[in-house]
Parts: sequence; structure tokens; C-alpha cells
Amino acid sequence: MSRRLTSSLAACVWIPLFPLRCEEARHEGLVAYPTALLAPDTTRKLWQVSSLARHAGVKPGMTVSQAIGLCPALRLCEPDPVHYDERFAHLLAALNEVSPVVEPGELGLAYVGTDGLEGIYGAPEKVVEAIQGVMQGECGRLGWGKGKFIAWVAATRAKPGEAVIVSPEEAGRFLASQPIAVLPLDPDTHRRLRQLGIRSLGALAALPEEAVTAQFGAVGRRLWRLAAGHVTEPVEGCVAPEPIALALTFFTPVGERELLERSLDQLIARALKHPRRIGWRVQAVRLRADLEGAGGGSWLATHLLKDPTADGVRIAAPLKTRLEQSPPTGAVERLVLEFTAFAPGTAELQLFARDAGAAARSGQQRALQSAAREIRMRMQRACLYHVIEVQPWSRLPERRYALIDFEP
Amino acid sequence: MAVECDAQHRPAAVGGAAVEAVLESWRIDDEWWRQPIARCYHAVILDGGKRVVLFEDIVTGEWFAQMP
Repeated sequence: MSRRLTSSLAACVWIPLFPLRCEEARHEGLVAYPTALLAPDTTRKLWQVSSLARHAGVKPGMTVSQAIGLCPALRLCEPDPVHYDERFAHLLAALNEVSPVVEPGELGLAYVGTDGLEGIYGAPEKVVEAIQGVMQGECGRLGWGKGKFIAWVAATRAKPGEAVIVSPEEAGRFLASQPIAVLPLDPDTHRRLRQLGIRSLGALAALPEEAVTAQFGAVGRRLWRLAAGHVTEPVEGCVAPEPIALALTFFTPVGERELLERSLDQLIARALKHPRRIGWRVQAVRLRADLEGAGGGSWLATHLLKDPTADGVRIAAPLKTRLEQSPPTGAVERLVLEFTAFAPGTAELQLFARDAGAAARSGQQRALQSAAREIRMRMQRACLYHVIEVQPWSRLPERRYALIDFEP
Repeated sequence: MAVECDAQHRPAAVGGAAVEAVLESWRIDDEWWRQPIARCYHAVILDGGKRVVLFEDIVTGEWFAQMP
């Protein structure tokens, strides 16, 4: 299984409204309209809303009919959690290019461990620049500091596409000036703190720790320690698994392609069951053949899968094509299969999807996607729509429901 | 939609099919503050028993059948 790496210096990458940003990236021109994303669990309520929609008075949690009433030009998008999960996985993979220690948070939030990176990039400003460089145009906010909490608070203070760096010497002063809303508070604790006149982390940290603990219990103690900068939670990264290699030695050298293909299927099936592979999809695969006789040479096929997969048939397909088009020049004595690169498991490995709702639906989602693709091909246009209730009370029947594009 | 009306301006034939009975008629006036909507609705039974809801757009004089 994978080892865990930790880093006390942290950079926090935060892309607020990540799912909505994914939709805006997917649909050209959407950014110019007031937009809202429907909730994944109930399509009658809004989940996330763009700033244009917010200006029109639309808020998350509103029903669709309320929102349309306030903003008739509102564009509604169906949620696609699997897509968001995949885009987030790509972001994590990109961040991994800067540091091996990357810890994902919720969608759009990730921590990058930066211990030791000063030897490669230099000052924290340069490390942050390197992170911004791999973010593939994602307009995220960055924060850097000692421990995840300071990095997170710094990220929340940064403007889009910019970074706030908090050096360890400035950390105390920086935290003291922050509002208590940056703490992981439940609404009740937040209200009680405000009723006590505590508005900033400095005001909270100025109180005796025992008094806060007596008033708010263990949660209060943790809040006080965060506010006082006494907690430095390290970034905990998960290292991608080492390559998986499996070999098959033939008693008598094999020349028939069918037999080699069957052997390849067996090797792939065994490699997919390898414990190191669990939770990861295969991204790069290599097939090597040692040919008959001393100095008989070898044969090699490598393939980088555009869509990482844990499906044996899809992994085997490019290798079988290669076996057919340019087969080994002699009989094969030994066949070696290697999975050399991996991507975090999402759509196909339902158990490992980050979003529980997405996990439950992903199998269904794939079937729907394939059916929708087929319909689009046959009809030459997208003709699937989702019916949503907009103004059920309207006296005009056509106002009661609306159709929005359905893209599974 | 081709609708023939009787003397009381009620539908008598719809697309060539005679109207057997007019079950209900009502009028809607709405959104007078922007693009006014004025419609006269009729729920009718056509010759053969089919039930159809029609409306006349009073602003344009056009007839439409309400989709179920």
C-alpha cells in the first residue's frame, strides 16, 4: 500500500465554486450569463450560483422557481459530479509535478507540502509561482504558511489568481487580525462567540485557554489553539503506487498471436487485482517480450492511456493492436506486463470516488453517457432535455415547467 | 391552428373536425405590466371523443392547441 509523506510548510490551492467553474470551462460563453448549478441530490434546488446570478438576488439553496422569478435570464446547469471529480484529479496530478506531497480537501481545495522545495525553486514566492504555473489556467487563490490552517486562511485572503504568503515570523500577527469566520465553526458556536463580542482570532486568543475550554468544551480548545497559532497541522500526501510488473514465462517459446493475446489478458487481469493498484486507475502500460535464444532480442510496446482506466479490455486493446500490426520478430520466451503510471480512481472505481453521490451514480452515469452519445450521433443534435418545475403556480401552463439541456 | 368559430365566437371545428361539446371556457389576462398576455381558453370534445384544450391569443387573433 502507499506510504504517507508529510510536510509542515503548506501551500493551499483554493478554487471557490469549483463545480461551477468546471461548467463554465466546459460551456463556452456561459461565464457571461447569470448561472446556477442544480443540487446533485435534488434538482429543484440550487447548489452553486455565479456572481452575476448573486447580484440578481439568487442564492444557493433557493428553489428553481424562486431563482427564475428573481432572474428570468438565469442559466441552469445539471450537476455532473463525475466530471468535477475527474477535473479535480487532473489538478491534483498537476500539483504533484511540483511536490510529491499533495493532500486533497473538498472539491477545489488542495494542500501542497512545500518542505524542501526551497532547494529546487528558492523562496516561497518562487514555490508559489511554480504551483501557479502548473494549474493549467485554473484561476485559483493561493496561500502559503506553516501548517494547513494558516495556508488556508491566507488563501481565503488572496484575490483570484493571486497568492498571500505568510512567513512564520508574521503568522501570529496575521492570524490575530483575521475574523473568527475563518475558523471551522458551526453556526451556533459562531453566534455565541459574536454574542460574547469576540470578532477576531486575536480576541479569541487573548482569552485564557481554560476559560474557552470551559465555555465551549474540546471544540473550543481546538479553536483557541488554532486562533493562537499553536496548531500546525502538516500536509499529508499520498504517494502514487510503485509500478506493478508481472511476468509469464512460457515452457516452450510462443509465436502464435492468439496465445500471446490470451496470455496478455491473463497478465492484465492479475495486475489489476494487485493490492497496490486498488484505488488507482492505470495511465501508462508497457508490454515487453523476451525473444527465443541467447541474444534473441526483445520486443516492447508502450501505451499512454488518454483516459486512465481500470478496465482490462481497454488496457489490452492498444497492446493487442500493436501485437497485430508489428508482432515480435521471433518466438516469445517471456512476456512482462508493467503498469507504470496511475491516476487516482474515480468514475470507474466507484468505491473510490471522492463524492459519495457520484459514486452511487457513476455506473448509471456511464450507461447514460453512452446512450446520449448514440442518440446525438443518430439525430445529429443533442435532443435530450431535463424537465424542471419552474413556476408550478402559473396560470399559463407553458410557464410551469422548463426544459434544460441534459448532458449525462 | 385552423379553428372555425360559431356565432358566439366559440370553437365549432378544429382542423376540419367538428366540435361536439365545449366543456369549459376561461380567460387569462396576465403580465399587463410588460408584454401583455390575453388568452381565451376552451376545453372541447371533438367528433370522435378526443379532448383538446385550445386557446385564442386575443392580442394576435391566432389559435393554439395546448399540449398535454
